[in-house]
Amino acid sequence: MSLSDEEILARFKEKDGQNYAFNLLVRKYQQKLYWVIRRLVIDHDDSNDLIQNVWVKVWQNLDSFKAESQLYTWLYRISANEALTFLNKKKKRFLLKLDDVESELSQKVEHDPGMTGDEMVMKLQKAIISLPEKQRLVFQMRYYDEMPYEQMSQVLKTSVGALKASYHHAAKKIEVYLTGPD
Amino acid sequence: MEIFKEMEEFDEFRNELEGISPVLSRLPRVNSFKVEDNYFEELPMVVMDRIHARKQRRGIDWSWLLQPKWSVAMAVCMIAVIFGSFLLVRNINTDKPMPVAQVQQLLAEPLSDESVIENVSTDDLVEALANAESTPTDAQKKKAADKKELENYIIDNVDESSIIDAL
Repeated sequence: MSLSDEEILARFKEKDGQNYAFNLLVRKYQQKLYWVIRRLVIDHDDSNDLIQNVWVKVWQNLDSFKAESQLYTWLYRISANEALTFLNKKKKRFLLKLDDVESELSQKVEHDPGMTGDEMVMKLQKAIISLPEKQRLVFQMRYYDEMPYEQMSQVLKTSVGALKASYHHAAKKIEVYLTGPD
Repeated sequence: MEIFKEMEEFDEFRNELEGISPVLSRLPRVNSFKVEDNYFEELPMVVMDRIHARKQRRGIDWSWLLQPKWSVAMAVCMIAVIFGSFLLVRNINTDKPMPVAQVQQLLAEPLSDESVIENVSTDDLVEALANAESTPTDAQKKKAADKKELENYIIDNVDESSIIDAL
């Protein structure tokens, strides 16, 4: 049974329908949100922890969700924030260890047994990882999720013009990386 | 209509990418990451278990106290309680007992009859006089009279032989 977001929210507001409605919500959006996180943090175990945190936060705050924005936009925002916060914490830890997150993520891409695709796809992943985090997020939202700029603007609270410029720069950098020497 | 809109957005997206990076636009957009089988079938149950475990562990959810309006109210209440406690402690300190040296000095001073009378209230005097009316002497007199009356009654009404039988 497929319910619209509005119907799911209405069921969630009924005390005896909370679990059922939330279950439907998780099933509806879990994959999209998981991939948002996974593409940012690369590692499955980290992604698994983060996606669970995201749903716990959604459960805690769904009551206060106001239908000013789309539910998906709101969920996307929580997921992206969770992943970026995780990466920032990791970066702070790495500052103490004289290492960097980017090379760690690159290594994970190379050695991840769950990673598929040819050499060019692998190179694309490494190119994406080389981008600054927020630019990476912008690129992924547009390139993989094909999100319209207006919706991206709602998620990231950034102007459409700035997002277009950021995507443009990101795609250019990736092209340079792909056509450059290994 | 929704499909047309999506197609339009896709064309816009493709043209945009082609304009920025022809190499990137020719690459297949595949998801190169994988998850184990059944991961997404099991995830909702894992999430619900975690939420219920958290609810049970917490019991009462106090997170509402962290909301700005409640935290301000709590801060005001705490200030009121601290201020009230301060006043209370100050009042208790003013009722503290007289130092021993001062008490001894007061006891050493001789008291005149006038000062005793001045310090005794009218109520205390009335109570003292009421107690004086029922002195132990009167009570004893009454008891003795009752005893005599009982003896006379026994002598007049009880046969001597029945007392001997009873004993």
